[in-house]
Amino acid sequence: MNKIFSLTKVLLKNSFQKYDEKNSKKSSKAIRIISYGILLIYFMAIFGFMSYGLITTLKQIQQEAMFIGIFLLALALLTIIQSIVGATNVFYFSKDLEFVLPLPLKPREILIAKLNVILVTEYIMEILFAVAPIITYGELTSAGPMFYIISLLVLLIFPIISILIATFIIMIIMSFSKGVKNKDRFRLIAPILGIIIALVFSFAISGTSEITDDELIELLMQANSMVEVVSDTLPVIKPAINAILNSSFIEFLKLLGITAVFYIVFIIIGNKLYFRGAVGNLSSGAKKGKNITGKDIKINPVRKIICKKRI
Amino acid sequence: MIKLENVSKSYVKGKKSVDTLNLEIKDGEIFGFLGPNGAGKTTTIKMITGILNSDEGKILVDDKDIKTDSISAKKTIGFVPDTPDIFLKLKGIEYLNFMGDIYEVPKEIRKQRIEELTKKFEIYDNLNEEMQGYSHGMRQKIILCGALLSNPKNWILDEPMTGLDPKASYDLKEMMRKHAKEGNCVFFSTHVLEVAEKLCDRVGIINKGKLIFVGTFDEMKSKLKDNGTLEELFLEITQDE
Ligand SMILES: Nc1ncnc2c1ncn2[C@@H]1O[C@H](COP(=O)(O)OP(=O)(O)OP(=O)(O)O)[C@@H](O)[C@H]1O
Ligand SMILES: [Mg+2]
Repeated sequence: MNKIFSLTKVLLKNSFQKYDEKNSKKSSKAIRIISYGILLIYFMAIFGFMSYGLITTLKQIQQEAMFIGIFLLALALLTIIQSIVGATNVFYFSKDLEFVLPLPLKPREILIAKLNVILVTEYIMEILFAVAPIITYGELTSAGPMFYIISLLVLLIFPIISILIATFIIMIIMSFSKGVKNKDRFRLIAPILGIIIALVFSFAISGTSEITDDELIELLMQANSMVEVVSDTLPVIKPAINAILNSSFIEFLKLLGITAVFYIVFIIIGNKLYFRGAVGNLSSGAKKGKNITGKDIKINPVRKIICKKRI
Repeated sequence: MIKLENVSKSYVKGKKSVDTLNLEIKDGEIFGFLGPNGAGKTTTIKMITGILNSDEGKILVDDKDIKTDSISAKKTIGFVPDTPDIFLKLKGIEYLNFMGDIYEVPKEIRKQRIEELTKKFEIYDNLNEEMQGYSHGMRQKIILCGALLSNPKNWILDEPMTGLDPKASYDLKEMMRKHAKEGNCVFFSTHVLEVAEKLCDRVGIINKGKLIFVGTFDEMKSKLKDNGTLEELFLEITQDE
């Protein structure tokens, strides 16, 4: 447990390395904190405002409870998409495995620490996207403290299953594309995917601004039926909805239980999938190979000279 | 003790980077692993330390199989990789504490050990800086300190002298001698024949994945006189310097 915590801490610190290097060289800590703070408030305001619009519209037809379902579905999708990018980076593109493997750690401990890294980034995402809608809903329905406590617990557990699904998908893809020579090209997919999603989102949002209330309700109904469909395949959605709507601790425990089962199964499968695929694949060898063939040619004349001398 | 039995590894099918290697490094021994670039030294070391799986053969570290009993085997190993560019965002002290956590070095011993090692290598004053700002040699030193923190029995060092200044290099050599004298095992790769000559009880020469010589340095020298291929190899090695 202690080791997992230590490893998580180190991997996390190291994963922020990239962002920092890009940042202006020595911008002071204060400026950085302020700019992150502004960003945070900006996002929270946008999503709080959007939620306010949706909830008041739904309230007109006494269907405000639908909001939670739609919200959780959106959150699940967002987490899956983000985790696909996160899992690719954390599990395959970060070069730390080579340094972690010689340490006396169980494969399972490495796996869990890496999942924790993704989980922390998802929590940051939730602070941006999920806190404001929940508070807005709570205020508009004048919910009690239990609502907030249960919501917090749900937000802590809910992303885990999306992360597991995303990581599993990536592991399957990676173990089939074992011989991917074009890692660099593959690496491009993540940012492109991100841009596309951002575009889709911004179109969707700008689209909704000109919509009438009736059309919006129509749309929300469709979204709600999608929640029904998805909750059949994603078994954590229903208990999460019920837990928040009814401030029910029992439903939360259900969510926790299902997540735990998924987690254990994932660890067992992931162990095989990841370490079989990744360990064979540690490489930065392409360049090296070329150098060496170059050297072989250089050595040949020396050999010839020696041979000649002997003759 | 490190023991390799018929160990092979190929990255690309049909091209063995390490070819049926047999080697035993006894306790109390400093063993130098020599060979030209691309010979398979790093590959061998990666298999011993559990970074790579061998395709064939068996590797035992203190009689523990690195594949089946990997945790207890790895606990006995202090490993210094050929590139010291690890976890650069961490401060030196954070890295050492991390290694202490992973190798379960008790807090009281840890503090004293860190002080002792980092003072020896003269990076004690840099412990609170991020490793990003370290020079190559300083990174090499902090990795070395991390590897030696738990006082492991078997040292496995991949070209540990590169980048070290003469004093650090001398200190490291002294430490290797002392460690071996205390009945432990030191295995390191190098290109520098002089280091091998002065330091090693025995050397092994690998070329194109095959071990072509094992013995004392003097044995190697005398063999060189009547063996053409070794002479060629010697040339290749010395040409690197
Ligand atoms: N990741 C990799 N993918 C493919 N081939 C590799 C990889 N790493 C090493 N090789 C090949 O394995 C062989 C042995 O490489 P290795 O790194 O073990 O050599 P070395 O003896 O450590 O060389 P050096 O003195 O340059 O450190 C080389 O022919 C190299 O091309
Ligand atoms: Mg090497």
